[in-house]
Amino acid sequence: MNPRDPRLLLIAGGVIAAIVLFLVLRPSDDEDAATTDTVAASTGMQGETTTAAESETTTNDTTPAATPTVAEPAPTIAVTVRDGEPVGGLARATVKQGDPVTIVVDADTADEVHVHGYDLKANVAPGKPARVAFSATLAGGFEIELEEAGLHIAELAVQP
Amino acid sequence: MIPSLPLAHGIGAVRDLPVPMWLFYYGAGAALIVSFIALGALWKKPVLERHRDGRPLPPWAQRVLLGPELRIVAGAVGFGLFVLVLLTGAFGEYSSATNIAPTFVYVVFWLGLVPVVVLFGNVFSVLSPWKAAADAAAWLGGRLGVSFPAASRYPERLGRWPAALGLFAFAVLELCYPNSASPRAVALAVAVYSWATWVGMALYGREAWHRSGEAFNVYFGLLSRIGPVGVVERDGRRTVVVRMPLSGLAGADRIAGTIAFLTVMLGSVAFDGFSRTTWWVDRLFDIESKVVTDSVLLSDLVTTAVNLVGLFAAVAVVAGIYLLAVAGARAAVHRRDALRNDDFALSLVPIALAYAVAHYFSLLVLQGQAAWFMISDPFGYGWDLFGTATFEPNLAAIKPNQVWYVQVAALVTGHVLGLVIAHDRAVSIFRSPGAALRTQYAMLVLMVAYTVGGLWLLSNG
Repeated sequence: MNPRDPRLLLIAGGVIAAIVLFLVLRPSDDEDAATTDTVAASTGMQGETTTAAESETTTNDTTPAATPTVAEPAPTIAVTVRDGEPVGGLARATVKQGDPVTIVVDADTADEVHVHGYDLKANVAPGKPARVAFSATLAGGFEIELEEAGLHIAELAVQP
Repeated sequence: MIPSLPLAHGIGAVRDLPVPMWLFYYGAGAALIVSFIALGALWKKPVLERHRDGRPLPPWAQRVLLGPELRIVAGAVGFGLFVLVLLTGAFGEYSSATNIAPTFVYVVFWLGLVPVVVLFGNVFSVLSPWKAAADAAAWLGGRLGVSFPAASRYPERLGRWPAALGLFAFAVLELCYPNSASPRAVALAVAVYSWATWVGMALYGREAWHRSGEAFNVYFGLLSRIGPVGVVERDGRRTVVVRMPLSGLAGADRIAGTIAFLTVMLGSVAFDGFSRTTWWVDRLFDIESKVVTDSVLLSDLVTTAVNLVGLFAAVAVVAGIYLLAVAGARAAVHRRDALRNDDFALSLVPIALAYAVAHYFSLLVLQGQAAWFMISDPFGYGWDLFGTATFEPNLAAIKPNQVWYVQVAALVTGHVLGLVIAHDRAVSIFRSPGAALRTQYAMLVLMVAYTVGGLWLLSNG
């Protein structure tokens, strides 16, 4: 094929334009995000659940040597369920991968709070809110549901 | 530990994160760049159409692939899995986390077969439990001296309309009905669809219905035409050929209902994306809270109805954009009779594949793993038939940023392939390259609309 073929020049120009556009638009911190490895797979399933006891706080941090925090952190997501629906609509929160997450659910019925993907469960009853604390090791979008009622109450987005 | 699956919102424990804005702009920019290259660099005479007939495989391969033995074996496998889905769905544990039926239908069958048919041709044609059962019944009838002649010939104007309706019904079950992952719902839907299929086969003949009326065979058949393996029929003789990828989509396809089928294909995936946007979730939530009832059935019915409106609107928008683009192409050549509406229909097939890859690739990879442990315990009774029951899916097998790149790459690639097919068709219809090019401005706008629309849906989680 003739190297001077205008079509080839056009294609080459397009490829260069596509690469330049990618380099220009791509955020610089993307490399860091890409290096978080599949460690999440093994640790992601081991988050702990506790049914709210006042003083009890369970937080596993990502750094292996981390000591459990003493102060009770403000919940990442707090939902109140009344009459079969979350007050104020679906609760949503976005965290970075590796961040500690605390979900507190207060409901007027007895049910089970279920965090999908992490597959964490905690019982909830009227006057006894459920508290689920874990480390967001697995990236993605996750539904939080009242299992018995099949009620979608919150969504957690874990950004890589 | 087995990850539990939400019953309420289909299957899949990990959802895709929205594509970041910078990648959205990149995808849109890349689509524009490749479009202009396509306008300038593509061939002036049809290339795909010339290669449509392909090269036949050697005679022994024809005998194996088209022979009765393969049909019997594949049909038995297909029918066996069909019975498994019916039994597990109807009698197994009531949970999509342990019962194989929902995962098998929505993931293994519906998503898993897609790459297979694109690479190896429409294998579903021989796996189809409906066709296999009908063939077996006809054979048995023949031996007993009973024949079941079709009540009438398959009407030409019916074309792919029944298949489009079947696909739409499947989308309603999967995307509109809030309990779509319920094993009972799956079993019931399979039973109803089987009944409809066998009635269709009894009325119009099993081959004719299988070819144009049965939604899944039409679906996998159209997708397989992207790939290199196909079956060419000439003078009643079928030949398996290997051909240039995409050439199976070249030339005219005049079967009625093709546009309808393809727009349902595209529109349903678009609605799946749209129904996950914050906007739609909140609207649905508003409506649901206004019609608070104690009846689960009634509230499910309301949700289904609202989603149905959304699904229908998505299909109508996709179809409307397409018809508008063809009208634009027609106006560009100043001849009303120069183009038929379905002349560029097949260029939608790669776009539909791209939408499916972008939306379901991660679901196939993540949820597909669940089939591995479920097959050891399909009913969820605690069996371990093949020793895989304790297999733990790796939910971090693909990272969200890898999913994003696959999604954007799929949409931009589908965009290019759609343009290539439309272009090949245009230079085949119009002798003058200038006229062909003028029609392609409209097609280019169409493809950009589909691609940017698809990217927008992916970036608005």
